[in-house]
Amino acid sequence: MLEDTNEFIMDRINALREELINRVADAYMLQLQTMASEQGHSELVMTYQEVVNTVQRIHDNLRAAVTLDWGLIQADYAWAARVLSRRGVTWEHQRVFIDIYFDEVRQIHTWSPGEYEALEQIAQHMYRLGMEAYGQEAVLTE
Amino acid sequence: MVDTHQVYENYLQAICEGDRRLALHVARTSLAAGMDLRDLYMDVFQPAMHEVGRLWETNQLTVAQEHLATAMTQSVMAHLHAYIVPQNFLDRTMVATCIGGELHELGIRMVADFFEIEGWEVYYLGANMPYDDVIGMIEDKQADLLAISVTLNSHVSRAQDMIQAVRASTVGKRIKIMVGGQPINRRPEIYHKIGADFTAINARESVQRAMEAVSAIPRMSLI
Repeated sequence: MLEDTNEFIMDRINALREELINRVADAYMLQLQTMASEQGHSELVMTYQEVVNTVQRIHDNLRAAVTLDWGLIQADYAWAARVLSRRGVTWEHQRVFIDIYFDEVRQIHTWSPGEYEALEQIAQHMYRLGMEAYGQEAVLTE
Repeated sequence: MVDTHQVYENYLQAICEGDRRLALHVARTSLAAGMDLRDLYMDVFQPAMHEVGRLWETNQLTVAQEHLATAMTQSVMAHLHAYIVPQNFLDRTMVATCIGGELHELGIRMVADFFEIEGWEVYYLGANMPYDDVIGMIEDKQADLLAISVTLNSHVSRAQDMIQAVRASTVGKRIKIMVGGQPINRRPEIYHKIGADFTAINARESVQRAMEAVSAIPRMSLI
């Protein structure tokens, strides 16, 4: 991955941090309700504030990972798989989160084709690290 | 001779049961029996808090119990602050802060107390300080060292932002910056990437490393 492009992208995303967090939190809250009622993921119950806190934490973590060390995200997913899974947070919750986060990132700013491609690589890398931590079959390619 | 392991067991039991008076009693009696305050921090409080974290992770303590145990240890440390007797006067000043909320302050408070015992002038600012206020305090107190504690991976970028702000200010060239905490302990190379001068794995080492780092800084003239 191109470090300079990635850092530029994260700076852009971070400049829109508050708006992005609110948008992701709104969309994720809705999706959590759908997952609980329609897909049997009823163990995880979160308040809106808890969802906002989660989005903030993952956004800040991603920023640190992209600009400093991907091991930070790796460690966070490993911890989540070990600890949060007992509290009802499944890989499906993590996957849906990544889907929503990057959907919103794609929409919140006009990206050049090169930036868009770098953004996709960041997303794919995040999926891959999460899947590894949760012991999921890797079907994605970078 | 104080049985450190027994003190640890007693203290852990007290904080897991939410008994603040017992926790304080255990700490006070161990000091009265001759235990060094720094040993109490390093060999009792620190491993006890790690164990509390492990118990929470394995569902043996609730979030509320874990938070209560942390708050109780902060309270005990605040009481024990009166026992701090600086060993000498070093004419060195540290400003300390942490990224995160009140529950993330424990480690940096321990570090601050260690520096105070060693004879540093210490100004602990609390958690989540605005960068301009941190810079203002460094300037006002002519501090030699800024200590930043980072307890979560997601706080690393905010520490980097703070360091960049300090470096860009008028105090940025003179001040030495130390950063520490779990994310840095796991990946020590990060301290350099985020612009700090050094890191240390615990309070004891942080004092040693800080003395080495500031030795090149001339002391401020008082006249």
